[in-house]
Amino acid sequence: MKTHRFFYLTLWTLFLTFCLNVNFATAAESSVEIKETDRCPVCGMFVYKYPKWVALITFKDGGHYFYDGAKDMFKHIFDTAKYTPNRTAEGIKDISVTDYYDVELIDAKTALYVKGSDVLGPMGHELIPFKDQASAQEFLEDHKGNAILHFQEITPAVISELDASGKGHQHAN
Amino acid sequence: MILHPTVIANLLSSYVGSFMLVYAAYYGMQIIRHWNIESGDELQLILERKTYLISTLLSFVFGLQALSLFLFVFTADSLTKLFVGAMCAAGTLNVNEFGYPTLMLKIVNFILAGLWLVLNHADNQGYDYPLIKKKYLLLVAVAPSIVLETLLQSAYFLKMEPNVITSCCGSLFSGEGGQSSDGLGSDIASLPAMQMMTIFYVSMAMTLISGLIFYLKRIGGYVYSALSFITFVISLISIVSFISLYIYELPTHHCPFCIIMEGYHYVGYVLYMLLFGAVVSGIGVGILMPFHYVASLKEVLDDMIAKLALMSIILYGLFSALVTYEIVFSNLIM
Amino acid sequence: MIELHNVKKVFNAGNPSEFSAINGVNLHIEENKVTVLKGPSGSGKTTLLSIVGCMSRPSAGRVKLKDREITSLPERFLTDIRRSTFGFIFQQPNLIKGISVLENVMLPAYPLGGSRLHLKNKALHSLAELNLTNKATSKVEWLSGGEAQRVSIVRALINDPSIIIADEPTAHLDTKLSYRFMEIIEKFKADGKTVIITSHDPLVYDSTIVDRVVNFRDGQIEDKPA
Repeated sequence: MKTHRFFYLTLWTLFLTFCLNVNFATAAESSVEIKETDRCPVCGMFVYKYPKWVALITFKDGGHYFYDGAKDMFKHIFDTAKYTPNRTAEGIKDISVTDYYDVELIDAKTALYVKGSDVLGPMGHELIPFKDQASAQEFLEDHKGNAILHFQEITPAVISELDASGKGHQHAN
Repeated sequence: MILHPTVIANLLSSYVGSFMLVYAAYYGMQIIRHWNIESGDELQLILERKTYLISTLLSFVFGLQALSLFLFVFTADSLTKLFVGAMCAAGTLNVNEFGYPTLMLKIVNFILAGLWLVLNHADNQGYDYPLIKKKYLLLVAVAPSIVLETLLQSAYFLKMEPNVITSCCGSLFSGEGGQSSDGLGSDIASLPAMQMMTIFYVSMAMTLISGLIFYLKRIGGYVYSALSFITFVISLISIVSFISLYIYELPTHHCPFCIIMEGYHYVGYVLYMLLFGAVVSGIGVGILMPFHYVASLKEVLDDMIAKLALMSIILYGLFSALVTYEIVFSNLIM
Repeated sequence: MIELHNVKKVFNAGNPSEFSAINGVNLHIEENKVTVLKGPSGSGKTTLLSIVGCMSRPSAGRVKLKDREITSLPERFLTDIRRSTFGFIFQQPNLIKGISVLENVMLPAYPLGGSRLHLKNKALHSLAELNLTNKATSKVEWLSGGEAQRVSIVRALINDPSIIIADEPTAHLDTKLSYRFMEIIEKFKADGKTVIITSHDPLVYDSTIVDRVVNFRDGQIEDKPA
């Protein structure tokens, strides 16, 4: 009997783990497709042109927006009503960003962001997202980044600094 | 310099046009000084032959000049991939200090070129070259402007370097103060949208009514001409202030250049062509009005002015219709 | 009716092969008269005729047609005058091969628009007056010299011009046909038209139908009594 229980327990554990993993995967993947008409609500760029930089926010009522980079995504979070007058930040359900190396959508809240690197996104200086510390650190060393930030550490001041460190000669990637 | 085909096309057409203009202006000065339709001497007859050639040449040059405005904007739009931070022509024009001045001058020269074509057409209707001196005076006045534009444009393209970060149109035409939004673009963008819409429709209605009165009753030609210019300026401001918002369905995006992109079905080109065509024919009415006294034009001038007015009314009407369509069928939430 | 003031025509001006065809001609041609410009070949008669007929412009000087100055007219106005005022009869008939006689005759009237049927009837009527009805549908290659010349005369008349210009019209005609031609000219005069002919054929300039003979030599009018 003990072996039976152990067997069924293992089976259930495996099954539940499988289910939970599947759920996480779908949460990270976009169950919404990028259409050609989708535009970033902050800057108006057509998102489908920049698949490596896509960020996504889904709202609790099912609405969703794509962005052409993490920076614009943060701008929307910080002042949601300015860019979408009938929405607030409280209505946000999920936030995703594209990992720089894997080019896959990952959860934005657990991601790490490299600031100050010489890799430029469609909007110029960007916060480059990574799924773990190791890849973030490797990138920082390769591309002269100056800090790795967590989701909670990113403030409007950080964003302004990125925008201001603009015009001049850079090597675009 | 960036050897993109559009850049080469722009420069080639500008230089060819400028050389022809300078050549024509040289003969224009001769005509202004020596033209005397009464005399039968050799110089006069040579000038008569020459003016036929030069007028034809200039018709093509000024026609090309008018088209080059759209070519220039198209070029700026095509080059956006080369500049980080640029997503439309607004960014490309901002890569160095010559971009926007070239555009401004091209707009002015479009109108001047169109007016010359109107004057030339009227002159060709008369059997004794009635407007020839005025036509060539206008040419001599316009030529330096176009040469200057060619120089500015050359400087713009020559100084263009690909590894430059430029401003995004979001910040150039931002409705709120902040970042690099310190300029005319932002000033216009921050005008209150609803009030601007009222001003736009009121001025357009006044212009159309004045135009119809002129077309039907032949009074108020100068009034219509002035109104059509004012409406032109208001329309340009309106595009930045509120029309763009409805086209993009984004309450903060005021850029007047993104509307020419494929994603918006190139509607920007249509809007601008209608608007520029309307203002040239509208001002053309005013330019031709003073020549009623000319004997050789008596029969044809009134007809010609009326046709210009009608063309202007129709173009403004189509422009308003398109704008209204965009506003009504937009998913914008303000 | 037609006045020429100090008309000069120079070809290849400025080149070594510069040639002055007409050297300051002052001439007044009267209405409803037959005027002959007489002179040896190379004297400039044909050049002068083409200037009078709005086919070329002088290098200097002015030409007035019924008090309207025509040398300075822009091309588009000149073509209107040419089409409606003048009828041209050349040395060679200059008919267009490959189309019929009737179509050749109707050709100068096409740019004016108008009903084709009306034009066709008018052309047939004119052809009948010169006994060419049975040749109306023939190809021009099949016509004899005299017939071709008569067809070119009908063509010259299709737009009811008030001035007929003929350049050496009898050069390729025999005596009998030349007399016939002069009779046609007399009819023109009776119809109120003005006729200007260049010729160095005595049959033409000695004819009683001619009102005035102007002598040309080396691009100028000689003051010799006709």
